[in-house]
Amino acid sequence: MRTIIFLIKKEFLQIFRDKFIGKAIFGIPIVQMLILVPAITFEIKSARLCIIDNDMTTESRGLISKLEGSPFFSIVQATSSGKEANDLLYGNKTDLVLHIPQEFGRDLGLGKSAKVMASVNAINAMTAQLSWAYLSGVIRDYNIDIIVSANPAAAVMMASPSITYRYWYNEMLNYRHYMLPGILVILVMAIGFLLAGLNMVREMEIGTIEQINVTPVKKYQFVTAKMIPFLVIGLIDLAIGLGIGKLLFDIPFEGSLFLLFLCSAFFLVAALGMALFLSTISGTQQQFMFMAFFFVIIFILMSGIFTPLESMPLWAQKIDLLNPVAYLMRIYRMIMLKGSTFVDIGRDIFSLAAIAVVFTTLAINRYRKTA
Amino acid sequence: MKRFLGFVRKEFIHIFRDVRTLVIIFGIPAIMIILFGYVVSTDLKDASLAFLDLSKDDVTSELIERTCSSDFFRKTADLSGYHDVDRVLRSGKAKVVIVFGENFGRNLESGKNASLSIIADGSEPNTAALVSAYANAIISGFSQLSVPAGQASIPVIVPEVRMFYNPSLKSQFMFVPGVITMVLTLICALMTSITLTREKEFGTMEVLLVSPLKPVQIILGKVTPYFFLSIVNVVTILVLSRLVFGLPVKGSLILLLAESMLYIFLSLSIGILISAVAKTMQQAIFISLVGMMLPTVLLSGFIFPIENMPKIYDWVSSVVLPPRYFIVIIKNIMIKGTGFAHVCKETLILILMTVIMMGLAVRKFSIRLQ
Repeated sequence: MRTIIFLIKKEFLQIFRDKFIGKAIFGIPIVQMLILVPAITFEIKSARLCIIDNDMTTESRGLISKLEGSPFFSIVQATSSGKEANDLLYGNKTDLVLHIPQEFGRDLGLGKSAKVMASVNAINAMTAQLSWAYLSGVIRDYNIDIIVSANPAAAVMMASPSITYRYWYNEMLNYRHYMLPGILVILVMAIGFLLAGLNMVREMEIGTIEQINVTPVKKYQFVTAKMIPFLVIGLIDLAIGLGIGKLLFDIPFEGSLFLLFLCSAFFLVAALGMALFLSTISGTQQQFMFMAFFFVIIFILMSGIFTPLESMPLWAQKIDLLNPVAYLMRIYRMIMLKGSTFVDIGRDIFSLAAIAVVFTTLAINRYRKTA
Repeated sequence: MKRFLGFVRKEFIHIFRDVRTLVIIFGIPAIMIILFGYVVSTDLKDASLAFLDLSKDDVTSELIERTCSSDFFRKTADLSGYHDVDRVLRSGKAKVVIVFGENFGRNLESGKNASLSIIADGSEPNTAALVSAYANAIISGFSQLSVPAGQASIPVIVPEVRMFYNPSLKSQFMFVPGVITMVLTLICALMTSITLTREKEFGTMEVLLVSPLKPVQIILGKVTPYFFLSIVNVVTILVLSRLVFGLPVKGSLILLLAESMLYIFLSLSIGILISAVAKTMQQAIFISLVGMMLPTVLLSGFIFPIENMPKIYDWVSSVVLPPRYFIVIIKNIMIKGTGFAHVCKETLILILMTVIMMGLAVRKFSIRLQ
């Protein structure tokens, strides 16, 4: 035990001897949280709409004023030239173009169905779908107006259920509440993973590990001592991040703080175990760094930070069972926003613990004291 | 010149000797394309859904069947009362619960107020918004279908839509430009900063400095191999995105490659600048990976549109964040197929940034030699 404590002291000295790293460990998460969190929002509040009105009748103006009344659309231009509208779309000056053709009012007056044509810039598929859904919603409302004014009796027939929406745990769908835990997890993960692994490889690369190898220090003692400082640093980083979230961004905190830190500790051991294992199979810092980069990218993209995990194919969801970031991402959001308890996330915690045990054991076994 | 070429040759040998790193350098873009192509998507699929049916009549059971028959939803639970709603949402068993009020069917048919609520798990705001929009669409579609056929003669407006540039609405169209930018930014900056700091850390830089090579030649010699590697990376991504997503380069390929080279230059000079500041490889890795990764991904318009951010981010990032211009350039050339005229502003800004970065990097570097 005493051996481990001395080794841990040595590790702390080694980490904080480098003034830059010592500051960056805490500085980078703080600065990035402050900068990134206010910036990110998926919320699409408005879309720019350009209208080509070739009809110029009461009917077309009725539709336009209906669109003007919608808070979602801001009309950038009303024109009668299709070319001008297409240029706007091409030059990214508008998101949608709605073309009302010449026969629009006449067709409606004759009791025929009238066509309108929408062109949507769909490079961002999600925004495109959403704007189109809003546009067709406005048109549907206008249709109901037309039907009801033509035949008041139809109002009954058109009765549709009155739908109310509730968003639990995040009434206003505040995106920051969702992203802040995600960003925090990624920063802590990246720092711990990279530094722990690099520290280990560095000792191998410059040969100082030989000095440890000739001492009676046991393998498990050495690996534990490499792990604990980063576990402590990771937990402190988390505490700072959560403090920033609570004080500055007012994110809710429904669940148990103890449970959150318990999960984080399991997660950090799992991630550090992986990092140390990777470091034992790489020869130079450069090799380790690229391997770490490779895995960190996969972990992050498959963690569900931007995208729902359910939309991944089944085989990917199976692979994700090995991804510690995915577990912690889910656990964080559940504990912080929903106040989930041990019963709800028990399985995730056990999986994290299992990953932690497996990779730490692998790292200890793989580390050879003999050259 | 001959000396310089010899030096470049030596650097190439260094790189090719380390096969594992080489595999990963080429593997990173490939795995990212595969992840974005097959795994990660923002599309809603199989969202877990639960029903609380207080009415239990023909209309509600038809609505339930209709909702579940779409690809978007998968029914995971039938609830017996309001107390269950919290349980399934909290444990994550369902992302959305649809509640039919009492006498739903009877009220709907008699034109009275039939109430229905959609309760979504707001802890995932994006999914919550999508889920409720889709559920709404399915339910409103039902109520229009139930209009008796006799009413069909009433004139209505029929909207048609054309999705420009991305007719099949693939989310990859947004991701590929981002992947290219991210790979180039991070790998170039990482590789150059590491290779230069490595020489410093191991003391071999002194050997290089006392050689007859000029400092500029040393830097250029170190960077040249990575320039070619990065071009190979760009080509790999373009070929893969063609094969995997069927996403062709609509505009001029030569223009796209030329712009990529410009951007590679810029990223390499950022790497050199980092190596001038960092004393050890750990520091260099820390700056270029931990410091640059998230801002590159989150602030450059890769995933989150810059227009949605507070104005100040737009201003600041237009000065300090080169990736945002490159993403626009690739989007325009690759997906919209525009010519040089539409990207010339962005190109000029990138050239200006490259000149400044190069200048700073060379200056910082030569000061260290005194």
